[in-house]
Amino acid sequence: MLSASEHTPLLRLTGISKSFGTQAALHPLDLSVARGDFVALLGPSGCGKTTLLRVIGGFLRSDQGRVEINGADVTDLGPEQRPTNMVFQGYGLFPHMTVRQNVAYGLKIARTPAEKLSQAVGEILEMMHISGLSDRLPRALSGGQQQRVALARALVMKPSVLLLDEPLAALDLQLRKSMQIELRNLHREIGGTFICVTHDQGEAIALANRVAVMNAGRIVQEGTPEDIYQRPSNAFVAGFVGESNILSLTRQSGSCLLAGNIIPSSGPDGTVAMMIRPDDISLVEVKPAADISLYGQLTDAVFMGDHVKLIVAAETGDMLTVHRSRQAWHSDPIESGKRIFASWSRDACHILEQS
Amino acid sequence: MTLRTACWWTFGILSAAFLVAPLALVVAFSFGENPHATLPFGNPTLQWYRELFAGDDFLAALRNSAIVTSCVGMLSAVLGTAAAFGFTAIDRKVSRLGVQLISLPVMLPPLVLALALATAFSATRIPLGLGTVIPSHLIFTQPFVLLIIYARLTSFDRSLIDSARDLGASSLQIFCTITLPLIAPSLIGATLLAMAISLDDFVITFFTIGGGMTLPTLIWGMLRTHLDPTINALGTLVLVLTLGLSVIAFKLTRYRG
Repeated sequence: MLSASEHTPLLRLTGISKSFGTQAALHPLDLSVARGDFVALLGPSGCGKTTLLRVIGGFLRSDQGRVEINGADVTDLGPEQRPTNMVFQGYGLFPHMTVRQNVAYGLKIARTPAEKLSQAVGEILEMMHISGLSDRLPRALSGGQQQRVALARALVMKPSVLLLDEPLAALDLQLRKSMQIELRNLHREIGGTFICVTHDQGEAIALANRVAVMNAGRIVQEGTPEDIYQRPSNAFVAGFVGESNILSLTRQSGSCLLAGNIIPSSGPDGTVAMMIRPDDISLVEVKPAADISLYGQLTDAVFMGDHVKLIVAAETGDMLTVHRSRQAWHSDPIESGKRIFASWSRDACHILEQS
Repeated sequence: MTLRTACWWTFGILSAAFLVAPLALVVAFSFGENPHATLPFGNPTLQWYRELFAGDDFLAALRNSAIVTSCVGMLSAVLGTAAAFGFTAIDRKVSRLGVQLISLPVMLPPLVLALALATAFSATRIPLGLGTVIPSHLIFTQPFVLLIIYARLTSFDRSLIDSARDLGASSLQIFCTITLPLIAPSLIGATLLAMAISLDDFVITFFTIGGGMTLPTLIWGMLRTHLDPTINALGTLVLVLTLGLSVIAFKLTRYRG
């Protein structure tokens, strides 16, 4: 049988709003995070994701709303009193302390007995693979190493919620990829609850098991990475998460018309958007009967490494982006300028209400 | 080297010599046997230093200077730091105005400041002595501490304070474990600078001390009665102390210009 605490969310935000002067940074929003979740707050810069993270951490007081952690109201508590710990974007490592002193800082403040302290610090340094650096000062560390120290310093406090503010933004691409995998493993290993702010949709999808897409101070969609990618709820999410083709259509009495294709769609009459992922489109020479297709001309093929990006100028005037695997492209290339059909199945169409 | 650069070099060296020569002479005379402070210096000797240290006036002045300098150093460190923290916490425009206002005494001619202080003390019937010298010195030493610490704090990385809070530290713990250790070099440097300025001040001390003496006012008194190389020995001593404090101060604060 599940205990009561496993039914209530670990973190619950209700009606959180925040303004800076006359500028609304967060419109009233709700968010629930279950124990063990890895949540990514994803959005462009200025969307309010970092503000939201700082409200959760207690660094900013929200104008309205409640923050509950483990069922307890922490709205009026500062960061020093909350069971949260944050990994800051610039890491915020204390420059006058060694790695070990940095990691031990929080436990020392909490007056942890020396023996317990050194054991806990030793374990976390081991876990983050930085035992060998324990006597170095932060300035003698690489970016990736500083990142590990910042993580260790927060994790040693065994926070109920670990907050990560653009944790990998300062690292180069190679390191970022390997740290992504490591963060995932870490989350699995210690089974904690992580909330991560990022503007990188690839990172959000790779790290998190739940993604909250934010725009202009609102959470516009929340769900699993697959949900967000496969079933974006509006044009903003479709455009922000992954590459997509968005075509503007007019809906009239339950169906949309696109260059001779009829796509049933229920809803009020008006302009809607249709989203198709570039990898759902295939290029064929004969017009397929069942699928939706647009006639057009291949204008460009760009080699992207693991795939080839094809640009098709469609008869409707839209430019379509189509992805093909490298192998498929090499075994069956199409020359630029050739006239072809871009086609996709009806399942691959997503009709998005204009919001 | 062209003629042009040669001319500049000569001019530079002559200017430097003009500035340093009097100081060099004072130091040289203080170690020479000739009692009239004229050339030649005579054989090297420590006689003048021995005589200086044997005099009661000197020991009293040294004691007073030590009290004033250390009190001024400590007080301007505490007050200047407190003021700098206060100013970084409030609105930028207000704080800039406040910093300028507090720095005003540094801009004033010392004589005017000294006269104002002496008038104020006599009008309020506060007896003159070390108790009036110390606050008078604070008026023009504390701005240096304020300016140096204020500059250091405006470039302070806020995320360090956020991190410490996040790890459970109280404001006092953050000050003691994070802020203070990080501003310590600036603070020590600023304090030494304040001490150096206080140690060699003559005008304001002269107007506010009443009866007693500090090292600079002792030099003045000695000059009026007799001109012997003990003055040079005393001058050398003050020079070494002031220069020493300033050199360490500039090293620690990386203050240039």
